[in-house]
Amino acid sequence: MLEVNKLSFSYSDKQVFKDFSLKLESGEKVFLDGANGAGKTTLIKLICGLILLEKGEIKVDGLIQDGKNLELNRLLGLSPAEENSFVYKLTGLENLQLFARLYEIDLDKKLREYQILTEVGNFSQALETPYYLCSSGMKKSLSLFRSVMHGPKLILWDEPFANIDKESREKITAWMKDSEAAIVFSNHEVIEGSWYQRVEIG
Amino acid sequence: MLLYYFIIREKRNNFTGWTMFLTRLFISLVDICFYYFAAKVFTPSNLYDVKFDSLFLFATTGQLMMAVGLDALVSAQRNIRLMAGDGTFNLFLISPKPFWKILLLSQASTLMATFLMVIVDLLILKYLFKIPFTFLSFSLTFFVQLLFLPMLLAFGNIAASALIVMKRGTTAFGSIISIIGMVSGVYFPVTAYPETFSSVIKILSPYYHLLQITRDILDHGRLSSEALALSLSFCAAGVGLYFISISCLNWSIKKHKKDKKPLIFTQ
Repeated sequence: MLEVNKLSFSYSDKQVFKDFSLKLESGEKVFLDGANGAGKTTLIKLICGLILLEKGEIKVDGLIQDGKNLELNRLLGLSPAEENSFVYKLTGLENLQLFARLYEIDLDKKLREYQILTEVGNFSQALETPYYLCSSGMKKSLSLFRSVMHGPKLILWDEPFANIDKESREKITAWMKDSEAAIVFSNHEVIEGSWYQRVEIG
Repeated sequence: MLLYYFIIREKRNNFTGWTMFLTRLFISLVDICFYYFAAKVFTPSNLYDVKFDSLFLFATTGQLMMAVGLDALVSAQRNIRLMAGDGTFNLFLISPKPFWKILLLSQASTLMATFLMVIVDLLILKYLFKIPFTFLSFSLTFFVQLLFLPMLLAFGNIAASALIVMKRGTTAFGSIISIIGMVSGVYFPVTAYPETFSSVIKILSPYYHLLQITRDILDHGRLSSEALALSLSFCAAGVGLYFISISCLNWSIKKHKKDKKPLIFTQ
């Protein structure tokens, strides 16, 4: 599902990756572990094509990531680390409807399909609330839901447990374990369990 | 439709509640009154060789007719700034729809809001200042504006591409917009300039032609065949330029992705 081959990448004065490789099959989960600034978010952005790589190759389901492949974009589901990633003045529901239109999916059907994720972090309250008035937990729950609602084959979650309470965290973890999609995620704390492969970054 | 959600965004950004709408109405009224009293103070000279022989009408109609045109020019960079500000820019970049299509829809919502305000302003002129505009002249004016839109949107995309690459220049861009308004004959006719300069303006600025044609419509209530032919040729050239501007936009996004820096605009 995901192939990262001999990736090299640097910011002006810092080499972040040198000949870094990673392979992931459908249903496999990878936890990116590393200190602040190690390159976890950079790797996620490289896989998404938000930053272009300097050397090496990234493939998703056989498609080469060149930053402009719309077919490949449909296979990805990103929940970024940044707190804000929705239109401020729209409610949570309107925001999800906007993205559902982009992906041409039936939102109502998806809300039933991914019900467990709708029980995370005051999701139902977030649907009715203008985004700029949502709490951090509400924003995160919307972001996680949006990233999976179109049924991506590769899910990229940058700090999915940030601002999420313990109960919701358990629900997210349960969903991740059962998911058939490949999942790459990062977190500042180590997650308990052996259902994922741990990759040290930096 | 995707456009619907951008319209809601625009409505909530600009027209949330009656107070906000009334404030915008008040600003329009003050603007028009400014030109009215300015016209009373500064007696129009024989520079005003058009049928609109008062400074008041010349400036207000110029200002109104340029509103949509100038908005088309700035709407691309304005919407990209909005997207960068609320964090949706990256999400739109990795969506299965081409970014230029998403941008175009968000621009359309911005332009609709401007169209609405222009209609309100024209109605103020018609009913408060008793300017005899007709429904036909209103309609023809907007029809001509639509024909000029592809070219103006294309210039807007090219300017937005430059902003994405440089990540600065919004202040300079604002100044350029003001200069375009001044030299294209919004507030006074281009015949006020030396002949060489006014000839250059007539050749280079689509705004000059947009203003001439729309003023002519408001004055005579009809669209001449020459004006229609000119508008159609601007439309055809504009569609071609628009496709070139999409390439510019795609190139700037690629450059931005290579820059490894977030999209935060500075002055």
